[in-house]
Amino acid sequence: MRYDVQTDPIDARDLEAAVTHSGAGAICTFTGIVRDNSRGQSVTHLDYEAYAEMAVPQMRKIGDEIKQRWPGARVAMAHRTGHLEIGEASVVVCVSAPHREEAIAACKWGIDTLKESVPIWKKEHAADGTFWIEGDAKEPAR
Amino acid sequence: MAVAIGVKVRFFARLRELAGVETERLQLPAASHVSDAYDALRRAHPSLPARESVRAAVNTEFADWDAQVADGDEVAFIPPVSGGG
Repeated sequence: MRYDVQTDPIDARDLEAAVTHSGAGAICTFTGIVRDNSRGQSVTHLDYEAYAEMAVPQMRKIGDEIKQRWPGARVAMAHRTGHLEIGEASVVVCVSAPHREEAIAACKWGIDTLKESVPIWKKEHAADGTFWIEGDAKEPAR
Repeated sequence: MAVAIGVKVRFFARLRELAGVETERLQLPAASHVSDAYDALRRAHPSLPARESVRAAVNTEFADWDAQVADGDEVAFIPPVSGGG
């Protein structure tokens, strides 16, 4: 199992290598990518900030719960921090499981839960200004 | 004089910008709650938002507002998160 908050680019293949094993029939990898638009405005780049000392244990909790809900699953997750350009991967969640149904369901649950409970924040640099994204809301940033 | 405890406060993202600091040492009366810490911080930094839009964590675990804080705790105030894609 592997849980990282990192400034370096994420290599999804590395995470897949961390979860693969001879009993795994499927690996599902979700990659979140920096998009060039948000809420109808063009986006130039993002900054991500993390409470890393808490984010990594929260990711581990999600991984532990996946292993309980989907027996046989193995999990790896990584999230970028700092300055990200359009097209870069901000987050990767990777789950291996005996069969594809579990791998896909566990991976979806993993990214959905990460977005709710892992203390990481996105600052969006857009055509109409710079904003902190807070859940579904956006607030002007300094 | 009442016994006091010292906690390390951490602010993140928009709260860090609104408070103007990343970390702060805070003295509180013994048996204070997380909510007492935040109320004291709002008096010092009036631009911090109301509690309703903030979550707290004590020693890197999410904590309820009525949880007690102890000497040496790290208390973080966390705006709604937005990690992921």
